[in-house]
Amino acid sequence: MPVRRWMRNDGIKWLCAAGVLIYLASILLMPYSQIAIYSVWEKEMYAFRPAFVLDNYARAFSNELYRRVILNSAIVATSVTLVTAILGYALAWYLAMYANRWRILLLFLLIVPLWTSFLLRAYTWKIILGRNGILNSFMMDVGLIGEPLPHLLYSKFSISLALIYIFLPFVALPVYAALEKMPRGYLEASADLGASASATFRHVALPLSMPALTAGATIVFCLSFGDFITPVLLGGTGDLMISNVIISQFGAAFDWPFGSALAILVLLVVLGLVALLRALGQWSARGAA
Amino acid sequence: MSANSTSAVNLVKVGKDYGQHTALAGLDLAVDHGEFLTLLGPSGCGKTTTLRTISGFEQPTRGDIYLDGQRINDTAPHRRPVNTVFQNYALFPHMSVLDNVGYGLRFDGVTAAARRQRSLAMLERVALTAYADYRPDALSGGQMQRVALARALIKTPRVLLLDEPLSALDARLRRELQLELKRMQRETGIAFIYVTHDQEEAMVMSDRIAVLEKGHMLQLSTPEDLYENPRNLFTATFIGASNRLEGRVVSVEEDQATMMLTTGERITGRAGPELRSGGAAQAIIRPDYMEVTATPGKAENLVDGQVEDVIFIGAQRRVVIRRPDDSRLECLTTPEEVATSGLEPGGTPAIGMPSARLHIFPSAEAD
Repeated sequence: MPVRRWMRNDGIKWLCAAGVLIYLASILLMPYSQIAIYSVWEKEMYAFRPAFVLDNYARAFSNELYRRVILNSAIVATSVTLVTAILGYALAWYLAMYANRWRILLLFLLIVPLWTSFLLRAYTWKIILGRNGILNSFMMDVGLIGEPLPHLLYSKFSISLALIYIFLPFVALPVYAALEKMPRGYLEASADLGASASATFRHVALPLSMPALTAGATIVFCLSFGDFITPVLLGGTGDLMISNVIISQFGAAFDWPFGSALAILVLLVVLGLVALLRALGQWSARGAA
Repeated sequence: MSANSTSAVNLVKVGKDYGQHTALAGLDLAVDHGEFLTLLGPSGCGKTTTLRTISGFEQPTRGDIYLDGQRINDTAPHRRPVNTVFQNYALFPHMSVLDNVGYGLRFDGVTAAARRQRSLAMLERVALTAYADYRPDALSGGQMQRVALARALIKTPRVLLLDEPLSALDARLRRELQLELKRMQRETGIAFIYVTHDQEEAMVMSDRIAVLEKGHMLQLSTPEDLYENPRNLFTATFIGASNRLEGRVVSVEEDQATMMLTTGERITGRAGPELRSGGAAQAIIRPDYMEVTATPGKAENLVDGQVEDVIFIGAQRRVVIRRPDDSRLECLTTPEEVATSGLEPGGTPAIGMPSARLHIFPSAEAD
């Protein structure tokens, strides 16, 4: 068949491979190796000198501030990921199993915010959570509180809330797709064999949707760990996340080697946690089966 | 009507509506212990709905369902000691064959070790021990079907429900598995309720067949009785091959009726229910009981026709007769008869229909 022959054509194959390779080299490999190289250089006044020193890493580890900021980011990213995974899964389950004729509308509502700017979506929460914001005004109007709650905004809470809101579709959509294509016969067969609804969920539905859940959760984790806009807009002075610090090293502090070392550390932490998440996903999929 | 304690399953006036549409109209059905009962009918006749009210995946709109004399209408599906072999098997794709088979035992408090042992024993019974560690998608259709059967039977249900389990398989494999299913049913002594639209399949396996049409049970009997003594036009034409002759009823006397065919012949046969003098009627006869011969002798109910074709179908010959009104009759006869009577296209032999084998029913338009 002509199409088969065309697909087996070596020229086409290499052309496609070249595209991927060029992309990987220019978007991933080059910048990362540049950062890795910078991270062992030295800063001298307003210039960087090529070297091979680990001073930058030592500084990141020894300084309490940077440890705290990395920990801060990890806490925010982990809690955002956990809450998003649970809420996103519940939402996807509702959409796939119960929404029926509302399904299209609800999916649409879930996707529409993705068309607006990230900045705008984060900023919206400032309006909702602010001292004179929608939430405080509402609670005061109905007499729930006497004066505005001060800690809604500029805290880890507000950062997390905004990130959860923004990243919810990243879990809900892939999990919905997985649940949607899962034949209902599996659930019936499980019930038929004596499994309660919760046992069916644990043994059948969850393992079958686990790959989608871990994929979504991984994306959410990476994005929220590296986010720098939300902390600036909604975070307090003590709620800096690691990306903010890295940006300031490349900007105001003009210390590219140290910024690079921090970036490499973040990369390692994220890779480690992603590996953990994957292992957890595989373990639960296998353990349940 | 009270629950019949001798029945494995007893449906009492079970009805199911979907909005305006009645899928099941007050079905009464008692399934005996150790019986192979088939619900037979075309799609939309209510057979799958019946099965699903027993498994619990459909709630009947009316009526009661008893299992071993206990009413189970309000029992959740996973608490009913009933298991199902699904049409598309519904094997769990993320579990091995062994884990699929042992799945149901988890919920009976069976330990992992005992589960494994019993699953292996069950796999041996369906000759799939070698595939214990395979994933279901690595199996052929017939193997998946056997895994599904093993997975349901390992629970030793009071009743096993089978929803067209062989419909996705090719004809040869289907015949092989029909016999295997029948054997498993005999060995286990578990009552099987089998849903199919394939009358041949129903005939091969069933102790009794319930013929369903449009939510009504038309006849419930043994395959042989359904074949020899159909009580309505639908059963007569749905089960087995049949010839059909149209006409009007001349007279009805107890169980005998005389009708005048549209082609002018008068024939007598067994009167079906609700047959009225003067009403439109159809006479039904199996090809096996037709008599086509050059020497009429004592043949009854002779009708006109011309041989159109003589077809070789193995040990028998199928003779196709063309009637004056251009309808066709099929007759099965022996090669000897073909030879001695000189049956060949264009010939006009005597065509007889024994009145004991001829069934006269009111035409379908009447209902």
